Amino acid sequence: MTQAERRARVVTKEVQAELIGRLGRRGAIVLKSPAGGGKSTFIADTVGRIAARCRVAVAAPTNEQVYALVASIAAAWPELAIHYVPAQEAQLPFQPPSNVTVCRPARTACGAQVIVGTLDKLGDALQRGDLEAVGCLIVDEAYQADSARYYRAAPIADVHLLVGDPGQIDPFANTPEAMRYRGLPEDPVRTAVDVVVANHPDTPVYRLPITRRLDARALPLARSFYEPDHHFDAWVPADARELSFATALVRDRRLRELDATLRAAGTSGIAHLELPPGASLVADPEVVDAIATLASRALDPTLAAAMRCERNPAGGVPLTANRIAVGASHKEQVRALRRALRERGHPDVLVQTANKLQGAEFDLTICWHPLSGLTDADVFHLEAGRMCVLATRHRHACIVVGRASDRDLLDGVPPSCEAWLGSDAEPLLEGWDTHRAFFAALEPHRRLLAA
Amino acid sequence: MSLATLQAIESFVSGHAERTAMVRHRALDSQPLMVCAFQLGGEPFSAAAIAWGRSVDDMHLAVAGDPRNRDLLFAALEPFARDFCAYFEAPWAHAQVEAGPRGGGMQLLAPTSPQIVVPNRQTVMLLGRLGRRLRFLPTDGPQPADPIIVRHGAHLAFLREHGPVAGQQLIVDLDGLLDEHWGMALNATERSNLAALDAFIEPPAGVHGHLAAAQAELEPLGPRPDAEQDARVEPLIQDFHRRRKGSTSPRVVESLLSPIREHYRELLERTWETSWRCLERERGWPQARHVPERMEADRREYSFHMEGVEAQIRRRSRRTMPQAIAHVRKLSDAESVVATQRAADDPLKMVDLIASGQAIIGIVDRIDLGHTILGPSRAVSRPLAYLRLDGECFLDIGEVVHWDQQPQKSYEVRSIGTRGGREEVCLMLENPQASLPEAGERACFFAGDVKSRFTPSPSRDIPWTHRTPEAQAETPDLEDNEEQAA
Repeated sequence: MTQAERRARVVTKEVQAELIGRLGRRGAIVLKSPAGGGKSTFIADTVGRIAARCRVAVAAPTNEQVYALVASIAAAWPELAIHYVPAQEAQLPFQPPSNVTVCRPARTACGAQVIVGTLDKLGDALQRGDLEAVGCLIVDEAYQADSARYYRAAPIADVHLLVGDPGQIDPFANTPEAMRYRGLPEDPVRTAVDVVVANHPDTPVYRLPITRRLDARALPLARSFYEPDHHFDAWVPADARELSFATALVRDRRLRELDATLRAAGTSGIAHLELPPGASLVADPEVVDAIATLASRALDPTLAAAMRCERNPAGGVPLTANRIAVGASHKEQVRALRRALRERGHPDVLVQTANKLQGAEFDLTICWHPLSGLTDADVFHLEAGRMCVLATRHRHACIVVGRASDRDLLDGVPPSCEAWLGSDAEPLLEGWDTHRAFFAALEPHRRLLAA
Repeated sequence: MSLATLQAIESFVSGHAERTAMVRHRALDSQPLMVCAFQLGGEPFSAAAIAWGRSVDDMHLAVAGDPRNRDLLFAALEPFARDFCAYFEAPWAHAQVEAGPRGGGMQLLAPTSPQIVVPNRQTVMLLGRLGRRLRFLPTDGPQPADPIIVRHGAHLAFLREHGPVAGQQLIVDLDGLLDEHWGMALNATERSNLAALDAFIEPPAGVHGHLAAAQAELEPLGPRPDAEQDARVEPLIQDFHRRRKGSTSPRVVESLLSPIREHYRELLERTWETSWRCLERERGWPQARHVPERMEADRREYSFHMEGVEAQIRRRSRRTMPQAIAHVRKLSDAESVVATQRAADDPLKMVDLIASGQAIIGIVDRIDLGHTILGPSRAVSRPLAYLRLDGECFLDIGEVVHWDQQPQKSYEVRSIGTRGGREEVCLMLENPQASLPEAGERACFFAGDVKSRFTPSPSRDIPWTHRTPEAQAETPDLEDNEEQAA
C-alpha cells in the first residue's frame, strides 16, 4: 500500500466514524475530493455501513450520476436491498441488478432501508408526503447541487454527508436576474456545501488526499484546479500506465502529425494540439475535423492502440470506442462532433458538454479547449470548472485541442469584473489564473498542427 | 451566434441595421403610457424630471427643482402618480372572476392589462428604485405621504420585478425591444443606448449608420445625465435655492421653477421624440403567434398584483429563501420557453437554431400513417414523417423535436440516412392525435423546451441546512407588519 493510499484510508475511516458517531444528532460532514479520488467507491462502502445502523437516502443532482450510484452501491453490497426512485423521464441504462427495486411511484420506496434518487425527485416525493424522513442523507456531486435543489431534499434527514469535487463546474441559472441574489443567504445558485457551511460553520470538512483515476503524470495539470493547500497524490505511479500506438505508414502530413500527437499523449499522458492561430465560429470546423480524426485514428486497427496499466501490467488491452470520450463547451460543438464521428463510422464514441461529463471516467479523452478561437475570454469560457472536468476524465491520456492564439487571450491584465457584497467569489479572475496555470503546465506538451 | 455576427457585418457594409426578426415578439398597445425620466447626477432614488403621456403630442412634464429635497420631489411626483395610477388601475375596475389556467381555481381577473413604455432598461430600474422608496411610506403620523404616492410606488416596484420575465409586455424598454429585433455592428454597451440604435436603424440620408450611432450616443437620453448636462443645471439649482429661501410652498416654488423646467424640457423632448419614433416603427410589424399567450400571463400577473394592492397587502421588498428559489426557477423557465417560442414564430430566429444544428428544414417526402409500435398492452399508432433536408442533420437519433407549426407536439428522430444525394430524416410522431405536415410540404423541426415544467413551490419551512441553528424555521411571505384590509 502506498503512502498516499494509507493517508486516504485514514481520512475515509475518519469520515465514516464521524458520520456514525453523529447519527441522531443534527449536522453535516463535508468531504472534498479531487478528480477521481474514489468518491464513488467511498460512497458505496459508506452506504452499506450506515444502512446497518439506520435508513439512508443517497442523492445526486442528475439522472446519470444517480444511475452510476445505483450500479456501484448494488455491486458493493449484493445482499443489500436498494430502492431506486426514478424521476419521471429517467430509465436505468442497464438491467437493474437483482438487489435493486425500481420504485415507481415513489411511495413504494417508503420505509425502505436504502433509497437512491436525484435530489429533485427525493425532494419532490418528500414534499408530497410519498417518502418519510430517514436517518442519514448522502449527497454525491454536492458541488454541483445548487441551494434550490438541496432545499427541497434536505428535510429528508437530520444527518448529511456531502461529498463532491470542488474543482468542477459551479451551479448556474439561465437568467441574468439570478445575479441579484449573489452574496445573499437566499441565493438559490450557491452550492449545497456553501449553504451548509455558511449556516453551520462548525461543519467538519475533510479532504481526500489521493487521486486514483489520474496517475502521477497528470498531477501537475490537475493541481492547477484545486486550492493550493489541498495536497493530493496519485495512487498510480508515473510509469504504470501506457497507451501505445503502432507506427503506420501514412503519406498525408496532417494524418502523420495527428498520429504523432496520439503517440505523444499515450506516452506522456497529455498532449496539447494547437491549430493555426485565429478567431473562429463556435463550432470551428477545423477543430471538429481534428478531434474527429484523432478519435478515429485512435480506433484505427492499423494503429493497434493497446493499454498497459496497474490493473493489467502485462498490457495489450485494446482501446475501444466506449472508452474514448470527447468533451466540449457548447452543445453546438457537440452536435458538430457527433455528426463528424458518425460520418467516420464511430457513433459510439461519447461526445458531451463538460457539464454532462462530470463524474465520468474514460481511458482516452479528447477535449476542445474552452478558449479555442475566441476573441475575448469571458466568464463562461474562463470558468475553471469546465477546463477541470475536461482535463481530468482520463486514466491514460488526454488530448487538448485548441488554437495557437488561445494563450494570447490571457496576456496582459485581466478585465475588470463585477463584485458582490457578501461574496468572495471572483469567477472571472479565478478562471483567468487557473487557465494561465494550466497553459503553463501544458507548455512542454504543445504540438502545432499546420494548416 | 453566427447569424448575429453575419448581420453585424452586413449592417456595417450596408450602413444600416439589419432586421433579425420577421415579426414583432411583443404586443405593443396602440395607446400605452410612455414614461421618460432624468435623474440628478448619480442620485439613484429620486427623479429630477419625468415626462409622461399617452401619445407623442401629449407630453406632461414634472420637475422637482431639487429632487434631493423630499417635499419638492413628492410635490413634483404627485401629478405623475395621479395620471399613472389612473391609467394603470383602469383595467382593474372591470375585473371579473374567471377560472385559472389549466382549470385551476377561480381568480379575479382584469379584462386587459396596461402597458408602460420606457426608453431603456435603466429607466425601468430607476422607476423600480423610486417604487421601493415610495411604497412603504406612512400615510399618517407627523409626515404623512399622499396615499396615491404610496400606491404608485407599489406599481413601480411591481413593474421592476416583472420586467425581467422573458417576453413580458407590461413594461417595455425600447432599447431591449430594438435589440431583440435588429442586428447591427454595435457592442452590448452601445446597444443599450436607444439613440444609437435608432440612428443605426434609420440613419440620416447619406450618413453611415455606424457614424450616425456614434454621433447620436454623445448626448444621453437619460435617466443618467452626463457631466455636461448636469454642469448646465447646477447653477440653475443653486439660483433656485437662493431664491426660494427654504420655502417648499407650491406658490413660491412654481414661479421659480421655469429655468430648470426648460433645461429638462429640452433634454426630455429629444428622449420623448426618439422613444415614440422607435415605438411607432416597431408597431408596424406583424405580431408573433405566441404573443397572446404571453399577454395572458401578463394579465394574470397584473391582476394578482392589483388584488394585493387593493387588499393593502404589503409585499416584502426582499424575498425569503423559498421565494427566491421559486423566482429564479420561474425566470429560467420563461427564458428557455420564450426562446423556443420565438424560433417557432419567426423564420429569422429559426435560422440561428438551424445554423447551430438544433433544427432541420426540408421537404416532407412521404408520411406513413399506418406505422405502429408495440405499446404496454397493444400496438399503438405512431405515424412517421420522412423529411428530405436542405442541409445537414446535426440532431441525434432518439432526440425529441417539435414541428414549428405545432410546437406542443413532439416527434422522435428515428433515423438519419441519405436518399437521392440528400439527407433524409425519419421522424416519429409521439402524440398520435396531432396533425402532421403533408407530403410535399416544407417543414421545419427543432429541439428545445416548449413548455415549462410544473414544480410545486418550495415549502415555507426552511430546512435546517439552510438556516443558522438560532434562526426561525418559517418566514412569513408578507411583511411582519402586514395590514389586511378591514
